[in-house]
Amino acid sequence: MIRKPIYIQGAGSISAQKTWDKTFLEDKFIKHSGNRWLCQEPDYSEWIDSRAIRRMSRVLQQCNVAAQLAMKECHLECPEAIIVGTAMGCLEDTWSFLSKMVHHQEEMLSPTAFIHSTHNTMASHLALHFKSFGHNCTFVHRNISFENALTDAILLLEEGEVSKVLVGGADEVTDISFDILSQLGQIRQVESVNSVPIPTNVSGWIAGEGASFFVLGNEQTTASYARLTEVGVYSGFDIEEIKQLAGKLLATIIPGKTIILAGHNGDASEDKITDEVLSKGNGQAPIFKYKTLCGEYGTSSSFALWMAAHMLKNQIRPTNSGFKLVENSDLDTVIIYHQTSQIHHSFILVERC
Amino acid sequence: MNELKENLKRQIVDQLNLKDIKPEDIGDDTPLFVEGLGLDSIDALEMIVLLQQQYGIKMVSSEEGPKVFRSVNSMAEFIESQKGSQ
Repeated sequence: MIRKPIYIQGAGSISAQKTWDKTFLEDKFIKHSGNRWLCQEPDYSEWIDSRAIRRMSRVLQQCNVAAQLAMKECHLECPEAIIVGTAMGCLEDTWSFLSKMVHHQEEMLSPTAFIHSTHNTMASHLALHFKSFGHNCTFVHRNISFENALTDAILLLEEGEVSKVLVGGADEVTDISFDILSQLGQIRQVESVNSVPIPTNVSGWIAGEGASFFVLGNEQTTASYARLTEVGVYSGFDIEEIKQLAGKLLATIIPGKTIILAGHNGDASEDKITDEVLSKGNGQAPIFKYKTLCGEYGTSSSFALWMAAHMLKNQIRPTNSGFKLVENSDLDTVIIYHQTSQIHHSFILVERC
Repeated sequence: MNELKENLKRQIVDQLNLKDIKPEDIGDDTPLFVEGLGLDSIDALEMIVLLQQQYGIKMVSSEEGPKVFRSVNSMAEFIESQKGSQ
């Protein structure tokens, strides 16, 4: 339980939907084909100085612009703390560095790819960009990286060390990572049907990517999106224990006032577990499968949090084609459930403010 | 010498991923750092790698750097002088 009120004061996202300019909220959802869904991206040169952008890989550009979008919304120029979660880190630069290492027999290595190949490049490059000298951390904890970044942000705010924190989650899919994950049998081998929700009767998921950033703070303002009320992270638990935990959480659902954003990723065995856990809610709240819009990646729950924030602020609900505005809507709570590999599970609760 | 300078300009643009600059935009005597192309210390490291990869020249003294990397002209002269000494 979060001990102090924590509000989402700004939110920015770059994803497989047009989230960066928010047309995603008004237009029909983009239905991708194939098993690798890339981001809908802005012209980064409009956001980042050309001298800086030349060294930045795509995921760093996504982080930078998503962070700028979130900060712009609450007129924040320099965050007191920057915390990022990433499951796989800067894969493009890692591959570039490693391939040059092999090609040049461990000599004459380019410093740029090396510097940017480390995971903590994500938070540190934001600190350099915004000239932030405060707390700076990148969490790399597989599929609960974003949740752990959120937890760190919450602890900082609860302890009163800072009043505003920039926190986000980001991951990229590259040619090499897609190829390796395909060979490992993680990615589905059959061509995906271009539909929302994606069919879940096959093995393997669809690779996605994205970066979503938030400014969290203790003060509620007119611009605040929603209140963050719970972040629960459970690793290595038996599935029956997860179901019990889910049962307690989902028992709080008030019918008609809650929506669940669920992390079904299209893989039949994974989705079976997700369904079992969420069955503890006894169908009291509608379930929307958010990865059907952004694909599967370790920090996709950050995309779900961006969705949840906008759903609560604008009182809109997702359908299979797009968001709809509900008259006299009374949406109070969004519950985000994210699990992959049946090892790491997380719940994020967000409430209307 | 002219061919060497043209090659150097192209290699600098490629190695440093200079998005808004074409090789022909770089004058033979344009300062590469600070007020010229605005390159920085990481670029200096990339240029050292460039010399080694493309021309087989190892910079042994860090004091040589500012003089060698002042412009395309100075880089070309340095490469020529190293060819002569090898």
